[in-house]
Amino acid sequence: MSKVKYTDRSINAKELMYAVASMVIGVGIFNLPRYITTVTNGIDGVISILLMGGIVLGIVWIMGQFIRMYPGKGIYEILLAIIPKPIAFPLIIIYGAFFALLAAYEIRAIAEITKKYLLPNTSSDSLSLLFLLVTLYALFGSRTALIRINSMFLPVVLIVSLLLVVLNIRIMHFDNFYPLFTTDLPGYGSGMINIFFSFTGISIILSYSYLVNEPDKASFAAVKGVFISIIIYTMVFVSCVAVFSNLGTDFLENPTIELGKEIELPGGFFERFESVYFTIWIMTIFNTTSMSIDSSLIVLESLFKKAKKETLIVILSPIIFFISMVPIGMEGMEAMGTFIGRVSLALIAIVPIPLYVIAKIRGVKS
Amino acid sequence: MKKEGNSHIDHSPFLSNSLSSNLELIQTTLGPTPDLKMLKFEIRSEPLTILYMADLVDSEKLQNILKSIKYIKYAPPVDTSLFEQMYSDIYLTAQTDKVSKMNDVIYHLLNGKTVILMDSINEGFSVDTYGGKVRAIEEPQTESLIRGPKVSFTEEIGVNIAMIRRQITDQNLKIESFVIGERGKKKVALLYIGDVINPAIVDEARHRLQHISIDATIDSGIIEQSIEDNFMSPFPQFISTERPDKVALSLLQGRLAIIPDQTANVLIAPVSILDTVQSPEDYYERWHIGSLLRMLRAFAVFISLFLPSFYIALVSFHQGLIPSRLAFSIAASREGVPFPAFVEALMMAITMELLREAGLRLPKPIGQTIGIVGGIVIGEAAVQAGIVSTVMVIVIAITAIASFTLPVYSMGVTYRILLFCFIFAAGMMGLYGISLAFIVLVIHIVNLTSLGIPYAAPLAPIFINDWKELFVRLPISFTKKRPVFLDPVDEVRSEKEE
Amino acid sequence: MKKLCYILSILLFINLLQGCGAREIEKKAFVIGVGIDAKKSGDDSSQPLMNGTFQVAVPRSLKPEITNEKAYQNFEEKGHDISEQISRIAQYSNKELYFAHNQIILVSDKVAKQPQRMERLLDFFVRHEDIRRSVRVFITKGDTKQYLNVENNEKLPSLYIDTLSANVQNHSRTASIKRLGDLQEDLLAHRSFVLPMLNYKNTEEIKLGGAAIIKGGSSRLTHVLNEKDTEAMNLLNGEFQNGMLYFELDDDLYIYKIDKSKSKIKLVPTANGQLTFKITVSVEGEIQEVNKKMDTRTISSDHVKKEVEKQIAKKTERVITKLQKQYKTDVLGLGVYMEKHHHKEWLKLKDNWETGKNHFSQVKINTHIHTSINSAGGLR
Repeated sequence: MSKVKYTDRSINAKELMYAVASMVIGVGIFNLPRYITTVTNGIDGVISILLMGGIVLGIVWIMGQFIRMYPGKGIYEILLAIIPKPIAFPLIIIYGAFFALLAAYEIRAIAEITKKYLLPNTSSDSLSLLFLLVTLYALFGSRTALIRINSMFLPVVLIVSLLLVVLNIRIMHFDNFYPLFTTDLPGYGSGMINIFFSFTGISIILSYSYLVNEPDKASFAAVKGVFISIIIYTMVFVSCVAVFSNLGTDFLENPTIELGKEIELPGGFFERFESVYFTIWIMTIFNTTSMSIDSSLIVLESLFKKAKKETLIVILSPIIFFISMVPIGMEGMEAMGTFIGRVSLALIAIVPIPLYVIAKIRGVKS
Repeated sequence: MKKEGNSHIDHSPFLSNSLSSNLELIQTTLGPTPDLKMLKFEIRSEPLTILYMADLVDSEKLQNILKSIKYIKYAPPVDTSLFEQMYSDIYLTAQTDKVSKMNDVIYHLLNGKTVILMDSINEGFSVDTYGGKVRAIEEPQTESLIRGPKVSFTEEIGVNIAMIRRQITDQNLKIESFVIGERGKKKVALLYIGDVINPAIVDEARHRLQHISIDATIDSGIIEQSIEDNFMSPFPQFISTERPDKVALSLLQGRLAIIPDQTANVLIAPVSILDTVQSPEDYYERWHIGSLLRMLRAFAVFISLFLPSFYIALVSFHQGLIPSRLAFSIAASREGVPFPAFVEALMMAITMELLREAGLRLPKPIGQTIGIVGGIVIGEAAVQAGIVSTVMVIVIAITAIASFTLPVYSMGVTYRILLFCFIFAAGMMGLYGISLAFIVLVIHIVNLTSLGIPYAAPLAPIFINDWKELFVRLPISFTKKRPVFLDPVDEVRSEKEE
Repeated sequence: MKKLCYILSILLFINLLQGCGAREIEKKAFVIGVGIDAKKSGDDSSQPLMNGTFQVAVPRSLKPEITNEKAYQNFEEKGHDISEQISRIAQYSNKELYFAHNQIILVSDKVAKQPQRMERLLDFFVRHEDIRRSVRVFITKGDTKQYLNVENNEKLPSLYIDTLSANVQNHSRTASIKRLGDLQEDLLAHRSFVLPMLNYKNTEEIKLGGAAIIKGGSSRLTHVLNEKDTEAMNLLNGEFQNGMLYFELDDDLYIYKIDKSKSKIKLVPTANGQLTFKITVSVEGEIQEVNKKMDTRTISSDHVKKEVEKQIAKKTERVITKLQKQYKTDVLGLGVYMEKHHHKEWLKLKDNWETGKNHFSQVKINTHIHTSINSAGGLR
């Protein structure tokens, strides 16, 4: 029987690009500007974003190379091909656990933010539970569809982000960019480290490596996806500084949300733009969360080959929910976020490099 | 290409050599039925019987047969047997098939054919005399249009196929015929343009049609429900239409059509979410108008899905998001209304559905009064009584009007169902609820397929090329390619340079 | 397994249905304006007592067919801070005070004169999720209470004040309207700034004019600039939007209408280390009216231009001296300019800019005025 080209269960480079971009843009964006302004002056944080962005582009390119070297293979298979099992096994466990943790954080964060800005009278537990249920519905569907949802949401998210900047131009003070280049080097450095949390999602391309049907283009597609998010981050950061000034941004809990609240369209039903804005951001958080859980799921699937996907979901999801309830209060969330940021820095930014070197050497040998 | 008969093996007895026993068998099979007519003749002392069902045959066609029989009766005898002579003679005037099985005889009789049986031959032949009182071709009723061919399908499969053939006079317009149903054995035709459509889609449709198990296909809807991808989905995976031009356009896009007999609705598949906003008229008018209409419909979809729920969310949960002056006037209009906005909206939306249904069921003149009564009573009196706020009446009215603009009826119904879901979501959790409900909707659409083709295409999976036809309709010279998401064999519509 | 999941999620769903509280729109009291007055302290608390006036819209009376009802209600309560006042109001108000539609915050000059008071007060508004950062802040002369009772063709006093500020572009006789967000930034940076002043005229009118100078550091109201000086300050700040200039020339009265005004600050390098700033003010406008005999021609625009420049220079110089010598407060943005463009030097000056050694008073400010006359109306 002949087939319609794209109906098989694989994703092409373009879909990979969308997936990477939506995965990267998560709850991190809500307080990303604050993380940068606390350690930099004026608009200098842009340098941190761009530098970190450059590094992330490199990492993502390396990750794409893994797909090229081992086309059609899952992340665990790739690891086993490069390093011996005693090292690969704990690594893959950490990888899976990390994504479960990330998903838990995202779920909790979206619930807290919704509670804060939209539904003050609802408990955050039920908000996060509902969010998790929606995510589960996506997980029960096909994995290809889960990835393709990104291409449905991402254009909307991009448009809204653009509007967020364009509609705020009226109240921007470009004077706020000054003074230029007064930040000291450690400031740039810690700015970069603080930003990395917002780039955690990049390793999604390794999770979905086995689905990619154009392995040669994977690196480039992922680079493009990260590039989109770098642009958005830069745009949001610059507009936050322009609107709130560096100091003002530093004192805001969620500068990006406040940025949305600043917009007032003249006349009409949508005078207060944030209603649209909130609705759209929930979508991108959903993308990040669902793909995070899916990444954990992929790890579990590669470890327990005989188990059904549904069973694994049912086992995994309560765990994630309970993790999401662990942090207490604002400080707990902050600590969890920092922890995830640090772990991701070690796991996602640093580990792939030696792996790549080993793979190259081994590849040359064989 | 022709494929008749059932897929399973036929166990019915063959015709015997004796005419009388054959007739007896037919009579006992059909039972005492008044409309079975048997005309007995004798030509050259060979007895023969003409059988037909009285109201299913066209009297003119029947006369033709009788005439040729008369002619043979008085013509000089020839070498061949009488049976062969008659067969070849009538063969010239009408479609004729030889039958040798009792079941076939009955099947042909019940399908308006005239069967001629002779003594001492274990074979008969049937002549197509199908006819009788049928409806003439009329203007489309449910899908009326301003510009374009004003014909609609009738209940006759042959007429319907001919209408499409007249639109697409292409040698590659393939028609496959199936007979479906245990009791109401009826013809179903599968139409597609052989060198345009992706063969996988045809294979899938053929496979599904062959495996339908159902007693009778009274309407296209029953076929649709027996072969759809996901019966749980509120979204129609086939579009039913009564307009041949719409079918022709769909065939040219690389889709297929399923034409059942005895129903004026033809099914088109695969369907994508875009069909919500697309209608053939877009192509008949110049592209500006088409584009404008499409954007309008997209807006209408948005309104009919979100307006009431959005209103509830803002009024019950996020009053801060309403512009100040509007917030005051909404608050003023809600003063004294005893129900929360959620209940209010639900009440009004249900009333709206009742009105719509009542207007549909009643004869036309009364249907109009229902509209007026509904409008005045519900709008005016309910506000006066302080049960509903004025703003809510406006919101529901706009929603109803918006949902009327959608070109595909079944899609419109889908959005009406979803509207209630969104109202519930908004009543529970405001904007957060709407957001989550929308995400669930998107997950569902992305997972849904129609004949194996993703329902959300070309949005997910993304096909930028098809976006030219998404919410606008670009000039025809820009849209030379057939929709990419259908993966057609022949990708370009016309290769001639202008 | 899947079925079990479905059942479970449906159960959870039903459970969720009960947990969420919808508060209908008519059950909320929309606060549209807040006024804060000083009150004599009764108890021995170290924090001064204040009187908060919360203006709430009454939507029912806002309908166009109802003309004789008061469309607002003022809740008044004393307390050390806003939250305390709100919680007291809750004891006798049947609706929950809802701040999302708050348009203005009025602070009486008495309150603003207390050091650090503004900062502490505004914290509530900046912190509250519902309140927008676009809320406008005004200083009132006298108690805010009377301002919130002014009623004219606009039924809601707060909205009247709010729309007053939209008309600033036609006179520029007050400090530019300040959004709460911008105010917070200024307070955070401890810089001096100006706020628009409201003056009570009668029960139907409020006048917007003058500028309240809030000094950085102590963040309290120190001086009030009169309207003329405010105009000049706006010219120097580049905040001047639209306004008139009256002057006499050759026995005729001229009225020059300023349409556009820009200003630019520059630090001029000098040999002796004396800080010298050059403020370039470019003004575009037209001659709107000349009170002269009809048959005489308008004299050459060059001549008028010179006079306009002279007039503006006179105006601005007066205010500069006032600010430097008398008020010793930098509301011209020189400090901000130094901070942004000469950051290193600024770090040295920062602590002694307006206080201590008072660098600001000692800097030299040169103004350069450029004007252009685009039209002289329909006459030649």
